[in-house]
Amino acid sequence: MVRPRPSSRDALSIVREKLQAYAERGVFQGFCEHTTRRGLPVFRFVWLAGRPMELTVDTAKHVLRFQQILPGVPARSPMYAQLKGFIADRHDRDLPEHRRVDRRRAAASCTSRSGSVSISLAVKHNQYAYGANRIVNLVHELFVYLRDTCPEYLVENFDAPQE
Amino acid sequence: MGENQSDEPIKNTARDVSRRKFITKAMTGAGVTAAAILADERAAAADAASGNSIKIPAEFDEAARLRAVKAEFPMNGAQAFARVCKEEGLAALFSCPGNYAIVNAIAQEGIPTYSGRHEGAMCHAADGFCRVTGEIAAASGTEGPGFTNMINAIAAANAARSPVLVLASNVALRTEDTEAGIQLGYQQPNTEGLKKYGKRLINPARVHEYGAYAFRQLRSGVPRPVHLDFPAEVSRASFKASSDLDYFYDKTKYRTDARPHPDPKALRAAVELLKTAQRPIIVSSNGVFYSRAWDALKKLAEKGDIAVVESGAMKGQFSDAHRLSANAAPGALASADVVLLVGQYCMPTIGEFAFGPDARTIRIDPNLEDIGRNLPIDVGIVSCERAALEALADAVPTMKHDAWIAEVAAARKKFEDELEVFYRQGASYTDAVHPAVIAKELTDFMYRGKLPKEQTTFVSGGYGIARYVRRWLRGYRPGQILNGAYQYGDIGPDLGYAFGAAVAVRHGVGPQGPYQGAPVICVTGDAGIGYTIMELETASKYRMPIIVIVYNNNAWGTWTGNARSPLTLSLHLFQENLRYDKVGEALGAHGEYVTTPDAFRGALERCYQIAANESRPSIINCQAKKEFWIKQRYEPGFLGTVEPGCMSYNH
Repeated sequence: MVRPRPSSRDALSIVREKLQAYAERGVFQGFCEHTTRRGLPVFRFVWLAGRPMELTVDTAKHVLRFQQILPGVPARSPMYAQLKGFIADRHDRDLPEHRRVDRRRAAASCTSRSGSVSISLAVKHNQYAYGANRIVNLVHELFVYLRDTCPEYLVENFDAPQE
Repeated sequence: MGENQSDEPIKNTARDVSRRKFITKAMTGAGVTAAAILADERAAAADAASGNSIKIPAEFDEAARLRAVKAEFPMNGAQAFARVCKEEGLAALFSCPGNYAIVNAIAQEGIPTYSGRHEGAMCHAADGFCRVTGEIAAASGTEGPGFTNMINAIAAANAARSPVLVLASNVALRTEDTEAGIQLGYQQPNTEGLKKYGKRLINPARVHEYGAYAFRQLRSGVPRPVHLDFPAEVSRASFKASSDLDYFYDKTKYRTDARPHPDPKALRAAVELLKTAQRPIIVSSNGVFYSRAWDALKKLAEKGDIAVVESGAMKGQFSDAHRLSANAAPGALASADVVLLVGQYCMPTIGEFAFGPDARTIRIDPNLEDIGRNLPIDVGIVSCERAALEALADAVPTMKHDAWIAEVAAARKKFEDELEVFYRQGASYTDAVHPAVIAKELTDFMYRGKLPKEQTTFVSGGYGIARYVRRWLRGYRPGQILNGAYQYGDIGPDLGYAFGAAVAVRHGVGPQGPYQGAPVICVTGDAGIGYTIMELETASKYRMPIIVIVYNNNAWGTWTGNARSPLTLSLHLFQENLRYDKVGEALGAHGEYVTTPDAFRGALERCYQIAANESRPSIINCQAKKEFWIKQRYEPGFLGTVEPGCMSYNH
């Protein structure tokens, strides 16, 4: 069956609707929308660790991106290598389906620029609803992972309590 | 006083607890090394040469032989208050000298009463007692400094939601604002924000009434400390008959044992949500323990095939041996689609629990005003936890979630496999004792050796060491694990907690009943033991079978944050290789100094023999090094936490 291709406005609406639902449920605080200097739609909200987060939606490139979500992680650091491994593992077939990022539908990646890590999800076949859900869950799991394996990073960069 | 009501009265008068006798008996245990024997012989010789061995005064035995005398009219204000305490089932009192009228009256009523070295540690003991029994315990200090010494412990008990009754004398009303004598002060403001209720009693005739009200506060809703001050005019007032007291009723007239039950509409909504769930999970916390709801919890979990994970100030309400336990399955938590929080008094904020953003939440809590705080809810149930769990267990249909429970089991295995890797890494460092070695070998001893795995009540304390030990700890029955300075995060309460837990086990209170008299084990850090090590003397004089394991890495846990700051790093360091074991020996405890990983198990076994056979405390000083927290040099380094579950501590 051929899936209908949503227009870019439709794609943005789908993402907005998914994110708005989290805001209405109280998961996101201070949810709002604006555009970047390059004209990309950005959703801004406070979520994990009490910090504002920004999710950009690039419908031309079919990419959802949490911009500069982790400061203080240089590209050549062991921690960045560790994070790349974690992101890659989200596609692992050993993960249950409800935890996995299905490569047929989306591809997760991370980049480090000027010491800040961004998390991206390339949406395939216009599956924006799936993509929005997966990237939000992926970032949630990323912070759980950091609490488990990098507590001192969270203390230094997110004011997490030492104990 | 403390032994008056003990089922295990002290048998000998003027007992000699010198190291010579101590070690002679301990040597019957396995694994005594030639070097240890030589050291012990030297110590024994030193004892003999001085002629001054440590002895417990004969007055302890004399007190143990005396019977409690219930106060009758005419009585004073302290006795009237003590009568309320007895009627309401106050289970123990921990004190330091001071507030004599109240302490003596409570002891005279036959309530187990103990005296320690520091009011703060004794208040921690009361907190610890509550957290392994679910019963109310009191802490007492004298007016002024004795009271303010308890402040930190009151704050910790408040954060842990413990029903601690704080009692303090308050000089006399007639000296108000005069600074006559010493230790004057208005004490109630000092516990502002740290208590559920407080009152400086000023009307002697209402002492019974306020006592009764204090217990209503302690026994209802979400427990927290209650603080009462007793000026001399109140505690020493004289009453010829009950008619001299206002509101002097039997407890059946001033309170009810009825509990709030769930609203049927909310109950139906919760059942509907649970029926739609593919991966449901219950978070069992303090409220399940204090309402003694563990049977209802098990019934609901088994009928609904719902996974259970624990959090809170104590653990063990749901056995880790159960197939539905997700305590040691942190990797599965993010999969849950419906989360039922029960008695989670200390609420996490969004993201602090590992459940994902799509999970729906049901919350059961006795306080209406707290429902919806921090975490958004889909269904809120205001109820006594036990009543709600019983109702839910009746209302949910029998369900199966095989795939989900298999996922939990797989996550549990992955977690256990990771612990095995940590242990092998830790055991490979042979010049000091790694925390993974302590955690693994200690839990092997408690759960997989000769002891019934349900037996040992455990106090999990310390800082960095706790991040290891908690991962290995398992609870198999209610009241088995006391979760350290939960939420408040203070340093040093652990030995106080252990003393309170040991008193609870000695008297077989509540869920400790089947394990009466069994040794209690406590893990703490070298920073923490510095705060309360004198309570080893308290444990020794009461012959408490406590084994204290000190993780000695020569540093405060904060040192890593200053590792790159040569100017300030030394602020976080102690002298290296300090001998806490020798301090323990000097206070009447048995001491062990362990410097290599292979020596830990033998030391633990010797201490356990001493605890079990002689009912005496021990301290095992495990020499580690601070660099174990540096992952690049010593994997796995400093560990993080995932909540809820075996690692949870903040909430």
